Amino acid sequence: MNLRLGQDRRRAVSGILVAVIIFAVLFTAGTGYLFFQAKNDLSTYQADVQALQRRAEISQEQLSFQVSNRTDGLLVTVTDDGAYPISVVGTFVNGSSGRIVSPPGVMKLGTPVNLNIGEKGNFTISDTAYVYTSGLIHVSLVTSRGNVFTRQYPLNNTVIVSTTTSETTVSLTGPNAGGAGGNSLVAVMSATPVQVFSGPCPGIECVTDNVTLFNYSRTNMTGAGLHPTTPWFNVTGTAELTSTNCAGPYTPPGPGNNHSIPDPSGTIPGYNGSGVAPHIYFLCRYAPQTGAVGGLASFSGWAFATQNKTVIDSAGAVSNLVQIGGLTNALAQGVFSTNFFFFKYSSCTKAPEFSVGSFQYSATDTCTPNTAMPPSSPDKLPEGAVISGGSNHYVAFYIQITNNYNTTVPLLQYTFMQVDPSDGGESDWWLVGTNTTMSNGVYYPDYDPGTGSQLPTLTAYPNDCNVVNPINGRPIDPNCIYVDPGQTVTITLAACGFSSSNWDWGGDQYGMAWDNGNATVGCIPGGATPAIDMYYAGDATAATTVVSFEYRGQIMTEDIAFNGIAFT
Amino acid sequence: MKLRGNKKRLAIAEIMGTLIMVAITLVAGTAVFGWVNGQAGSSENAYGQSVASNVNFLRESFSVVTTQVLGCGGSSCTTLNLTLYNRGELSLNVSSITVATLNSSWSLTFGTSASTGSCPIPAIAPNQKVADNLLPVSRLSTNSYGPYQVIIPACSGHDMLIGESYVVTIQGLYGNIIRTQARAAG
Repeated sequence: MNLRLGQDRRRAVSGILVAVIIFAVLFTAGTGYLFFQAKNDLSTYQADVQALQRRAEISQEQLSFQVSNRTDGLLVTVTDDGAYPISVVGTFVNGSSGRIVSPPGVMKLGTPVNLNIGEKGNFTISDTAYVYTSGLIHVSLVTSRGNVFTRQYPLNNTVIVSTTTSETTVSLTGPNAGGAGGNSLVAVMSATPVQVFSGPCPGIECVTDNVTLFNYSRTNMTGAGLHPTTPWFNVTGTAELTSTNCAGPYTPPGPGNNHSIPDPSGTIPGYNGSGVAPHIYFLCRYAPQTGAVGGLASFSGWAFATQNKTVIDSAGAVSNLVQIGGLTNALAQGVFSTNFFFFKYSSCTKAPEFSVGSFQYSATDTCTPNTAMPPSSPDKLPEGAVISGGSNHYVAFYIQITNNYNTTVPLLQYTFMQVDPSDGGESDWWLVGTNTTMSNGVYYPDYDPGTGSQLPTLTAYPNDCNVVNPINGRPIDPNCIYVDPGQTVTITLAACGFSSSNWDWGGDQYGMAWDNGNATVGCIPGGATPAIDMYYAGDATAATTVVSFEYRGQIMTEDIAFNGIAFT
Repeated sequence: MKLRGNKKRLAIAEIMGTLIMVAITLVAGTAVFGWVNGQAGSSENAYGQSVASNVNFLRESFSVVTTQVLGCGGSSCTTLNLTLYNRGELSLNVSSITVATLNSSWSLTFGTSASTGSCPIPAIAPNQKVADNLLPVSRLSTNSYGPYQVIIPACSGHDMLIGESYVVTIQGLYGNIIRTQARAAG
């Protein structure tokens, strides 16, 4: 009995020991592995969270800054407008050509400019390579999060005023206030002596900018407005302005109303040539920072409006000059101007040869417009001297777009047209543009005027022109259509040679100036029975042109509509 | 007495047996521990490398501040300067820079080591980039800390034509890719 009992006790002890040891071994190894897994999972999670947080900070980082020229360099005043503190670590300056002023290229600030949310700070770019002399430059700031912010200096003083003369009256209220006005939206105000603002605004300490838009054209304008809705301001000196808003547009007192009336439609009647031109106005207010000392402020932006129902009632060559930027010299003002020419040639002597896609015509084709486009007068119509007799019509629609901007801009989107032959039968048209998203010679059969279909908007390589480069604004893409300062792009849409039930509408994109090269517009075989009257009086042929430039993020659009172009 | 003597012998044998059992258990346990630890170590190593790669990818972040095409003469340019900012949480190691035309008619990839051949494409050599190819955290590759630079080899036949734009792709060591455009303005 004792032996049995003793043996039982020892077996139990050794079994427990074995179990404990094996469990300890497995527990040690397994727990270590689990801890390792948990630690790595936690590392991944933390890195993921940090990456997301970093991206959120990068995307929400925002700053605004102003540049002013000092004798010792460019003074940059930065304000943190974002959701996180900002540290400006570097800067560089692009010249008017878009290239970095070099040397030295990107310049690292010795002491970063650290700003809390809403805080303002400044530094001076005093490097001799950055001494400003003239022209437009772009100053870029690099933050510690790698974002690049760019601002133009000096502010763009170019104005678009669509068929109007904008007049800005700027007034400084308060003691010793002075005011200055101008004949454009660009306004400069000054106060002598320098005004010390005490706020608040609205109140007597407001800086106000009354922007009046006059319509000197014959026809009504609608949708008049300002861009930006509160014009940009730039202040030299120590005054600081806070943008508030522009109220309006208002119709000023006049016959039938003895007080200003809000007119959200922005309608300005046409001008009959005598007296004060019809106008509307906006009241813009800027609040000065309390205690700020006024210096010299300038406001810039542009006005826009749409001119409707420009009726062209001449069957010959007509020209409608849509002048942008004032009364006199369109080339000197405005970002771009457009000229519209609509020609109708009474006949062609014979039907030209035609091939889809190449737009090549026979050298003897009398419909081939080899003369300068567009001609200066009706008697200079393309091949006008030799077009006589015959039975085909030649119709051309030209749109000239002149860049009045002081730098090259890409032309992104330029036109669409709506044609309504109302002639019955099949109406085929095609549109060719060497710099459009449509390939050369795209043929659109069976155009149905009854559906109100229209030629699509032509967009000039939007994918390339719209490549967003956060560094230099937008890079110049060689595939885009460029319009150099003072240069003109002529877009031609034309048709020629019609049969009684078929006609074609074709066009092409011309180069950057008058096109004196090979013809790209002409007649197509007219068939056995060319028609005489393709367009009938009263047919509402309409053409609407939308021209858009995009330059460094600013989209400038002009929309001109023609209605009721009738042919007899 | 006999019984007592028998008891003593039996006790010794049992003690010996117990000791042997414990010894065997320890040896077996050590072996099991070693095997399990080894297996876990292998898994840990593989998993750790995977996690480290993932974490490094997440921590690697950089941006292109600006591009400059330099060395222009005639109708083409030869040199592309890239100013990078390392906004990540570890030193930036650029593993390759690729320059290509917009229509991909040609492309050149500059790596950290030169390729051989009749027309070798130079690596991002020390005199063409920041030292050791590493850009510390929160650092801007400015003039004082040279911009990354690639030089199109004259024998490659790939010219950066003035007026043309080029796609530049920069790849970090841990797989982050930044793509931008550079234009040879002349």
